[in-house]
Amino acid sequence: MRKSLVPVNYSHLGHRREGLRPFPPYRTRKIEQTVGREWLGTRNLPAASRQNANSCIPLFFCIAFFAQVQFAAAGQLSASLEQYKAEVQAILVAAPAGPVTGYLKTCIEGADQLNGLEAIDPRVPTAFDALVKKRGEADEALTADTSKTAEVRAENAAYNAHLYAYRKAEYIGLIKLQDELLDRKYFKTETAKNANFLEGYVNGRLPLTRAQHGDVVKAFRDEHLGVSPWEAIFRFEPAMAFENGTQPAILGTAGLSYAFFPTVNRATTPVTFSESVWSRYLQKSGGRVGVGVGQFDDKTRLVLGAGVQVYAAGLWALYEPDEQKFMFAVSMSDLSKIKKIIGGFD
Amino acid sequence: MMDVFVYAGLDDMWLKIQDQCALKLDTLRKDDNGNEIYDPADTILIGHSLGAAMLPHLVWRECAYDGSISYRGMILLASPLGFKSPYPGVCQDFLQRMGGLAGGTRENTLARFARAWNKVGDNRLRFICNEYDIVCSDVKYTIPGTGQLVDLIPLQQGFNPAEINILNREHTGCVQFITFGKRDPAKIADNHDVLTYLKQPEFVEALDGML
Repeated sequence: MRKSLVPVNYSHLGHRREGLRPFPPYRTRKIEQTVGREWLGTRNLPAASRQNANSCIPLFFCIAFFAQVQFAAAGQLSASLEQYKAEVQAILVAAPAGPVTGYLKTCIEGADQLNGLEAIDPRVPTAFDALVKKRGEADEALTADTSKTAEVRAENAAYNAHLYAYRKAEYIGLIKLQDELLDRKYFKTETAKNANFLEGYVNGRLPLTRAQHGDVVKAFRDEHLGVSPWEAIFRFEPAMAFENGTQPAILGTAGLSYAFFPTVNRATTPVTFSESVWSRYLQKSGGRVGVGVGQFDDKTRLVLGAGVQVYAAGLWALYEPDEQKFMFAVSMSDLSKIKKIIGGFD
Repeated sequence: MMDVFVYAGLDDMWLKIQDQCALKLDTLRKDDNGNEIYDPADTILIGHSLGAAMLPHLVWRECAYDGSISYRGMILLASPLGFKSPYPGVCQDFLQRMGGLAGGTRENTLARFARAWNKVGDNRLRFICNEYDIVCSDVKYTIPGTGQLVDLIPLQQGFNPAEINILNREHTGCVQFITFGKRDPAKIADNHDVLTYLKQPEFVEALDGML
């Protein structure tokens, strides 16, 4: 049983939903009292936030009350569309002339975008985009008074009962994928282990690196679901310079990396990812510039350099101004790994 | 406070948290096999504090994509939704984020949001704010010793009178002020306590109205 679509009859222009049981003693589910724990996933927050998650006062609190509803078999999209249109037409026939009829007609025009389509048709999301746009236009014409008329409420209930579920299913599918992309960009890769608040702020503000937050329809039609694959990086990284053996160095780096995201496969229902070699194995790459210090001949010296990031490693060409020497270096986003590598060379 | 900073200050983390919350809410309406057992139309959302700023974002974002509000109602306790950023170019406030989704200005966003709930029914949206709660009201506290009344946060935390009028005009009676606790800086946490909010008759009345 896929959806709980409740049969509706609005022939009398009322807006009570037939088939819905009286609201039973409500069940409560407390989602989570504190953010940063299970609800939002402490693992998904930057390290500094994780450290503070246990000491903060409860700031997020959210409860949802649910009533169990009767199930009714879901029809196919075309059948649902016909039901919706029939109900809205009935409402329209009895509605007094005025802004409300304009609203209803615009809603029907919007629903016409779905004519002849079934739920698995890849054209459905675009058709729904047009439908939602039309509904937005219809809403614009409403006022505080007209938006609470029985006709408008009946139309809204009919939309929620017959068509909303198809759009919502797609929405949740896309949200899941967008969440996965944000995970890959900010949390899952090796380079994410050294992420900091400066990066978090800059990446959320720069147009190149910022996700599309505003127009959610436009974001979900984007090839990366509105998540920019570019990421600005500002951090200190331990490095190993190759100069008469291996020498430790620490680099302050700034750079830009590119996350190789999987392709969003819109031909399937629900929408899925298709991995590529790049997204599966390389995951991230980018360029850096850096300045830091290294230990050479038992002296601490300034080094400058430029490098590229491959997966979690940075490959550097360093210049030591004091001795006017060039050298190669490798940096890692994880200190424990460079220790292992240095240990291996020793 | 770190949670507030992450949600309000780091834009992409806002998106991440929104995604996680939407998925969590969807999961709660389904059984272990992913079958929907609770209809959105019979789901009442109740948020407190930052959660009461997050939920309007969640609902408004869904509405912008789905074309409708599907939930039965929403009660927002101690909502800082009216908080106004002093530097909106540096750190967006909560209404700016909603306006970015649909609405534009603060006033237009509030009007559209409140009006959208009209299509669901009467009394489906309710803000309940304690006048002594520093999170949702621009309360002045009595300073011990001097007896002077001082606004400890020189920013707009709650809705201003014009915004309250807009909300109440568009969705009748949706902003409700209550009073519990004291104008005492030592009582800031008590004045914001969620369990005290849940015990208020105004909350029970709002919930009963939605049931």
